[in-house]
Amino acid sequence: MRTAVRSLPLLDMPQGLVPEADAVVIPIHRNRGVWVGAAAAVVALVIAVAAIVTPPPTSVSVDDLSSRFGARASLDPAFGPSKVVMPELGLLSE
Amino acid sequence: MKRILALVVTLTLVPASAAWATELDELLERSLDASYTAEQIISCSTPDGVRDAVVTIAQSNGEIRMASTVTGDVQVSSGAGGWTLSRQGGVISSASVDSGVEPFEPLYQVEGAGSSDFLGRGAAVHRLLRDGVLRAQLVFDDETGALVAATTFSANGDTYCDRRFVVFDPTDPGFESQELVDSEGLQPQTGLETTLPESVAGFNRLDMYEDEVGFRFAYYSDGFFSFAIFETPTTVALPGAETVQFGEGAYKRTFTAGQVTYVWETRSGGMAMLGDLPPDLHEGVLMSLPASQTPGIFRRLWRSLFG
Repeated sequence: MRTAVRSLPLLDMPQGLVPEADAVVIPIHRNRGVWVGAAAAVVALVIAVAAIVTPPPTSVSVDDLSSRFGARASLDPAFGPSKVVMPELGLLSE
Repeated sequence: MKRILALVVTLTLVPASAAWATELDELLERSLDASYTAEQIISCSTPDGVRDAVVTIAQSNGEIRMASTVTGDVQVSSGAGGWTLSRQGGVISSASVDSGVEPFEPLYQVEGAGSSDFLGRGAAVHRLLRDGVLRAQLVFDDETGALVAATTFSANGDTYCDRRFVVFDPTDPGFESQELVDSEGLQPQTGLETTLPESVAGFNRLDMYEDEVGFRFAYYSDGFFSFAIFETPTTVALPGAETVQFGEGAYKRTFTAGQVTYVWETRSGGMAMLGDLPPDLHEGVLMSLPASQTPGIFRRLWRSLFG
């Protein structure tokens, strides 16, 4: 039987005579968790880099503190010429 | 017999300590009543090197005006709860506070150390001892009562800061005591939730304040030295600071002539200490306060974004 089939003549069909079959889309079944994890890792990396690169806000200056300390110190019984709070003299010349 | 002896000792020592305390108060009070102009040299030996300054002083009616001889157009006026920094007549920075506590008995024993001649004038020398350790030597002008020299010491006897008048004119400068600030003084508050202890290394917490800009501060004193502790929502900038280690925490520190400033970061924000206490007391104070901690990445990010 097998020999009979093999002995059948081959037909070479001219191109275009028979329409080609549509390509079959085969879905790739990958784990969705991998993509979610990758995205989270990227976000975490961006946050970490931003946190490291961004300097912390420094809105409070020592002058703000010196003025309040100086005012309170002037109410101290020990207040006198040796207790006057002076800011950094170098900064005054700026 | 022992009870009688204890009673005698108690009756002898209690009035004596009260007399010492009264004497310090009286000396300082008389000093603040003096009126004069002067030039003062300040020299402090700090762990980070020597800090010097030369300033001019005018004192009248309980108010002291101080200016640097280097930058003469900049002046600090201080007294009665007010503090103003001005340049060429314009106010750069100012603050005004009130106090809610009565002065307490100083922890210092005052010893008379005789008379001396200071700038050609009669003067009296007094030594301040805390727990038997010499902490300061004060020189008062006999005639006016003005504090013309003050030397402070570390516990091992090393000199921390030496301040002395090099020019003294006992003439009243004649300026009228001015309203140092226009705004109403910041009122001390009670009942604030705080991590700041009531007593730190022998210093008592006297007043606590909460500022409209969102930070709190407490004022501590032992009757002579004093400092303030600030809690701020963000860190405090301290240009030119040295980084020092106390315990497991890192602190940034600067010294000026007569004052030290520490800043550090905690879990909840920033903290700072400003004061005139000698260096050997710094660690004891800082170790009693919320520790220096480096915040985590997410906390830093949160502060960066939202303050």
